[in-house]
Amino acid sequence: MAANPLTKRTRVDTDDVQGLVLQGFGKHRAAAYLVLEVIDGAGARSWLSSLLPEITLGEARPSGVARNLALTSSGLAKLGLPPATLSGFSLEFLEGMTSAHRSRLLGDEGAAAPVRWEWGAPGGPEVDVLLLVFAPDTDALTAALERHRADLTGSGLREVATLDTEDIGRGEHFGFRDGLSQPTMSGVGRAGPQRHTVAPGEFLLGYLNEHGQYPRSPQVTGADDLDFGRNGSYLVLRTLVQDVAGFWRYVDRATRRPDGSPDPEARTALAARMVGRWPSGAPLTLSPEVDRSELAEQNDFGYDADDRDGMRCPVGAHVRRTNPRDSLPPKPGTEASTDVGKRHRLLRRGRPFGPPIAPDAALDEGSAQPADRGLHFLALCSDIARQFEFISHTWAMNPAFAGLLDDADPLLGGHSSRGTSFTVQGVPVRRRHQGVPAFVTPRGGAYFFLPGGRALRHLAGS
Amino acid sequence: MTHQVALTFSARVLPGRREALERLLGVMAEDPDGNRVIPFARLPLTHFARVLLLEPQADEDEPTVIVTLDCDATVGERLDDLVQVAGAGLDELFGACADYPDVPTPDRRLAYLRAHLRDSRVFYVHAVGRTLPQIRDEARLRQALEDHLDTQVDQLAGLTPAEVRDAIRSHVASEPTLAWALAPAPQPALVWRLREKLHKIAVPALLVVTLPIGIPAAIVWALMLRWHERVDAFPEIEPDPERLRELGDAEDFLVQNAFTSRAPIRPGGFWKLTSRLTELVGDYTARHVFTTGSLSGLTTVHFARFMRVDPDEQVLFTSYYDGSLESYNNDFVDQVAWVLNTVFGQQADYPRTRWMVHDGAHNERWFKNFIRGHQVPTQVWYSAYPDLAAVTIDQNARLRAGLSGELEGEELDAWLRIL
Repeated sequence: MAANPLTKRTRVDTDDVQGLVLQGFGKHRAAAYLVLEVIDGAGARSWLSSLLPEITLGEARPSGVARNLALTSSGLAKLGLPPATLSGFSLEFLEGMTSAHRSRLLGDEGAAAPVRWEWGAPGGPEVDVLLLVFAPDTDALTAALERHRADLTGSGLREVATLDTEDIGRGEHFGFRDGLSQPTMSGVGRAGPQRHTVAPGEFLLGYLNEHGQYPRSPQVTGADDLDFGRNGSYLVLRTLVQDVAGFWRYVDRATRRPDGSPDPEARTALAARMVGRWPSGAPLTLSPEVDRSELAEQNDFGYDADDRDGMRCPVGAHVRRTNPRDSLPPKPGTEASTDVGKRHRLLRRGRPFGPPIAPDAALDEGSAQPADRGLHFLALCSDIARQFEFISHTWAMNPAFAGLLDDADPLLGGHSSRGTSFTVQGVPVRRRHQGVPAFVTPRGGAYFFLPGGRALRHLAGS
Repeated sequence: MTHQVALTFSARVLPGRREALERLLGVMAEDPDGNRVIPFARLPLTHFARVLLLEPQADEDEPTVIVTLDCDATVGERLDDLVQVAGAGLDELFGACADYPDVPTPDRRLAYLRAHLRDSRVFYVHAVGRTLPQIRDEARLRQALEDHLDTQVDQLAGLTPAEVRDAIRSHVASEPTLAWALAPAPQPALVWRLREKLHKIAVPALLVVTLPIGIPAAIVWALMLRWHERVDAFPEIEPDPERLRELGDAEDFLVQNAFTSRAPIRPGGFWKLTSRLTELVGDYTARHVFTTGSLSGLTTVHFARFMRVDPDEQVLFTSYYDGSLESYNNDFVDQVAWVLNTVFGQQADYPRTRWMVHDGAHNERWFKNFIRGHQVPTQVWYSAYPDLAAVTIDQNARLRAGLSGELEGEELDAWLRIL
């Protein structure tokens, strides 16, 4: 691949990019992801070939059912991608999410260990292909899934898991608005605030990234010469179970009045401090004391100027440590800090699963058999190690993040013996909450690649 | 208190002894603290240690054993400790190497160790003068004060920062196990400090004296540098995924990781000379500039050193750092690329630099390939404080320092925010 600046491509070839990179299919309220294993490569290729016309590419909002398709490294190999091309993918993609080393990096230990996973577990059915189906409504989704399942029969693939999603509005299960802070990919014609505008090469192979370089991209050589990676994106999928009752019970107990009675306002405030946003989505940095829903969409803020020490949004809050904006070296508060942060952004396309529950109802819910709910976390990037894993390991799970002593991410941590405190910075001194349990437990996951259109056609042999 | 010293032992493995030695390193790696060969945790005043086997180079037949220790001074005392604590364990390890005494006695072991000591060209210490007992005591202090504060949050509400500090100080004074912290940490010995001060002044003074020769020489050197940077071949290497996997399998178990790399200098006398010069610059800055917890803004490296251990003068680099290699590399690329360019830029396969400090590590992919490409396994390593990040150690030291003397205004607020 030419790293020659003369061939610099600033416009994204959107017609060759699978839709999920460019849009969340937000109008398509129903979605399900089929996790598939390839039994027979030749059969799977012809299955893919017949599916190709239905794969949604580009920025145009689809009116009917939308479909995207991603593959793991084993999937690519089974569909016949030669080793020479495969070796052009990154090590972490080839190694997969569940190797011992990757588990250490991601904090997947104890109850979160991959051996306990329901899909993607080592030794379980192999995860090769991910078919993402988005539909305007549940009826259309059901119909589409029925047809896809019928197509699978005798196709050379079999279903390993169906990941259903649930339309619970704009939030996630703990009760907070989600997905508010997304990076805007430059080169696709949409303008966003400068601090969130990120080079296309951070999400797509074949374009310059925030280092001014092209990401490593697998190549097909020979007669059908092709930059296989171009217009493709790494796709991280993790099924995260959320213990909503456990979460609200913990903050409830931590905020009881001296007489032992519950303090709903303090409860919500502590929960908001763990998240870094109020339930409406309003950032604590902009409104530290009360939830002001009109600020929910206000995302053009930094931490350094008004909230350097975490007096509004705690330093260890989930959203602050997964996107520290301008708060970290070099030179916090400046563009230099934000620019380094841009090398660690993700396009998030996750969707919740399981029935929603309000905080009060969660507090009353019997702890014996809580309903199964959570998030199919889905993120797109061009460098899993520098983006997803770095955010997980160096920021989210790091107990010493940004000067903290023993605080991992209050939402994602809890599976290790370290980092189980949550500190709310304050004057004259902080208040430390200890023994924060695990509220989120991974129960499946894999690293996929979401190829561009040309690469998909190559793979299908057409 | 004392400054820190770097001990490095290098010994050539005897023919036919390699496999047994590898097994022995395996035994040591299972329990670095208490293994029978060198129970590192029993070595007094030792912060970090490692043992590794360097593969033979082109003109060699057998590998080399390298043992490094990062300790509080003095070298003589640490050698005595090593002989006393490891005793016959040294026979097991170095008995597989050339020139080891047939009938070892404590004196002969000591003489062997002395004879196999190697100098470091550059020795970086995160915070010069901060001893192991200080690091451990201050970690205990931090824990105790954090726990105490948990019980006092409500009582302290409404107090001024000065009143809060007074309350904390009284608590420390009232606890016999903590009262030591009210006195500032002792400094390294006066003689040592004076010697370092003299070195700090003497080197620039000498440079000024030699300016009439130095300036023309520097101009010639700079032009030659630029010429070599432009015309020399700078091949990019692609590390073998299988080897990367092996290296990764040994990483990220603790807060810290150990890194070792070995690389030749680019061919030609110019690069040899330049690497020698940058080692001198590195040595000077490690001793006099980057001495208080920050390597030009980088706060994650505990100890590091550059050595020359081979007959062909390859560079052996070792370090202990917090976090993953990915974050270590990102910090390098994002924050201190010019430092890396200066000290690594003469090594083979390093990305092409421009006027030494520009480009180079800014080429992220190439730089990461260089780092991983020349990394070698660290078979055994030990940390005296495996759960402490360097930034935490710095905070603990600031916490203790702030218990004595005057503090007010922003300084006082910042001190309270440590907790």
